[in-house]
Amino acid sequence: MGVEGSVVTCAPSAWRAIDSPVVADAVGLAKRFARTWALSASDLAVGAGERVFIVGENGSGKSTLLRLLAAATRPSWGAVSVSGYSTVTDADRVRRRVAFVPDRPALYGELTALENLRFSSVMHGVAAPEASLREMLRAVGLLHVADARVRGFSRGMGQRLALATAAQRADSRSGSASGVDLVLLDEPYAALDTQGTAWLDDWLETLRARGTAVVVATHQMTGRGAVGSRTVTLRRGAIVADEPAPTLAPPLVPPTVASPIIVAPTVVVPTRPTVRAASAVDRDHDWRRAWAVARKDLTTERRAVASLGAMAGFGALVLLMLGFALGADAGAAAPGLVWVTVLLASLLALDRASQIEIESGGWQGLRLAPGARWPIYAGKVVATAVLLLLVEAVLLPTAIILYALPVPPVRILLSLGGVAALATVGIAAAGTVYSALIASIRARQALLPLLLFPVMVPILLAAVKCTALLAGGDPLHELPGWTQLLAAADVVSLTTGLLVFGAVLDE
Amino acid sequence: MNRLANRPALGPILGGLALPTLLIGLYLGLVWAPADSQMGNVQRIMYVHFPSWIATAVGYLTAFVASVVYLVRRRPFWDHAAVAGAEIGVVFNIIGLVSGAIWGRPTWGVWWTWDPRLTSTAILLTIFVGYLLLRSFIEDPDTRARASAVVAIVGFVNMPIVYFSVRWWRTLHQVQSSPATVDPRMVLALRVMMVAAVLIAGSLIASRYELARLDDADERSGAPERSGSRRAMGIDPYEGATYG
Repeated sequence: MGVEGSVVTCAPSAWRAIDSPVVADAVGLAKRFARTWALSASDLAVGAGERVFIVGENGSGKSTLLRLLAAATRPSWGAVSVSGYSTVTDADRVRRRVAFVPDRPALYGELTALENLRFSSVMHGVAAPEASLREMLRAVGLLHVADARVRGFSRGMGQRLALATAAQRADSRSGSASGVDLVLLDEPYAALDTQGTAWLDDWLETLRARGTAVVVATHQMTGRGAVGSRTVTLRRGAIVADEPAPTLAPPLVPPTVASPIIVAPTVVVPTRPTVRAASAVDRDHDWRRAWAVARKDLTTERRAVASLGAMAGFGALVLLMLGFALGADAGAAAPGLVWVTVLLASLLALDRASQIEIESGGWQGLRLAPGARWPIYAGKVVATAVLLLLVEAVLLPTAIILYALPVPPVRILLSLGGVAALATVGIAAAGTVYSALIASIRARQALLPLLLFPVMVPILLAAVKCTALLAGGDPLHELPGWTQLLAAADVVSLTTGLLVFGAVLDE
Repeated sequence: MNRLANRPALGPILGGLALPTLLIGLYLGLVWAPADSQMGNVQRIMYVHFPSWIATAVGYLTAFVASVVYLVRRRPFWDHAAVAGAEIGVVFNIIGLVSGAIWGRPTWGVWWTWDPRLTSTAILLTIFVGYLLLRSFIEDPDTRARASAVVAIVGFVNMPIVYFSVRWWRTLHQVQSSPATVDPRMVLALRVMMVAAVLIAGSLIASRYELARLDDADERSGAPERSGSRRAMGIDPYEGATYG
């Protein structure tokens, strides 16, 4: 693999039917999951404007092949490049050029169709005005449910919306996103009705006319889209047949392939593939992405308000049980009891934030979004911290009532709020890393406290000390030291979180 | 990692050096050095207790450094080194805690106390036990390596702040004696035992690394079948890869 520049050159496939630049090139590509090879050494080259149907039985490796092409996962062997960029060393550039609709598209149930479309656009760096988003929904026949929550959608409606998010990107060439060179669709016809199929076929024709390469995985050849397409057959993870399109017109628009992303006009081919030219536009988009992630999580929580109630109720109940256990001693231990309860409630909040992504296939969606990873992390930390602060706002008065504590004056309450904010950011910063890391593990609820609580010791100690000092009117000269410790713990957790989150999200 | 396979095994070599060093150190510590003026022969547990923390540090530091390099380079090699360091670290961490408890009972009167060094090493143990547990839950070697590397890094970088917070919270541990006030024979015995500890830890880590490598080779056994690939097999997808 050539890694000196970022453009990887590969010999064109002998099987490639049309004479156009290679967009997607897989060489000796293989992927294993544990001991099973989902895909064994496969070669595939797809030219600009070409449409390839990958057919095969269930479990033949179609989805794996698409995920490898989309840089959603790394190959175990071999190499893939898209528009000349390696999916391993230049995954970010690949993500900018690929629109991928997986078999389980990332759609958030508590968001409306329009909000889902907008979230996807923002995450992909496409600045689309609301009118154009509605226009897209009209095109796929979802305008009448634009403001309805996706939770109530049928599978076919969900499929249409997922295709709309891909089409929105492929059709847009504004913002920091360059054009999409490759569209990957996993079982796009599944659950689509006649109208939906007709729209999809039309869109596929548009893509061909524009010179965009399309790879469709399907277990059966249906629809007009299959006509005039190259067919690649997979069986047990191996390509067993590759039939060129019977009658294929050359692409109408010769596209430019391997043209590097135009971020700054002077950049043509970057000498170091890992260094991405970050422009002011990109940075602006990063902040917008962070805000979009936080808003998405908070909107979900706001609409499923019962979950916040359940967390606060759980916390209040724990305080009550601790009151029973400690009897008259509970009052003296109140600061410690409150903060231990907050840590226990944070497990629910963190698992909840992770659950939103797991249920909706959102982790994969976030992984496919190009650009820096820190906005995703920052957005999730902010959302979790806000949620936890709300729970704490319920727990503090509960503790005051249950343990017959004196009501602190406003000045002390404000200081307590500051301490709570510092402690909560620390919990959210480390907790977001761990809950995302173990999202796909069966025993994640049991593992989360085991991983999280040891590193929460400084935050617990400092928060308890600060609270006790503030509540008890003890000599407050110790307070600055403990708040500095809280701040230091926050800085350590946030910095490591920002540094490792790319690896956490990666697959 | 064929070039490593051809190398003479590091584990047995270090182990061969460790054994005589350990025997000499034990003789110096248990027989030759004088008993402590206040604690008597009980104090001789120091010759096991303190070196075991050196070995713990060697293990965890190996795990941390290897995890960082793994996330940057994504080579299985570094994951094997990380798990070797973590496991050996956990073993010596337990030895250190148990020997400390045995020492603490006659001198402090309690098995356990909320002393900062004791507490923070116990927390350290839970972090790396969590690391090993997490590994046992993930079947895919690459996913396992990536996830556990993150846990090792986050856990390790939090250790100084854990230690400071606990120390600030409460302190009891005896102040370290400076070599100037101690019988030189004690100092020599302890130094020899510390060298032995480093050699033992190095030997065990090297052997455990070898085991992890063989496990991995077994897990990844069988190259993908070729279906008329244009290029010969053996293209390494991670060549020149840097994390970014």
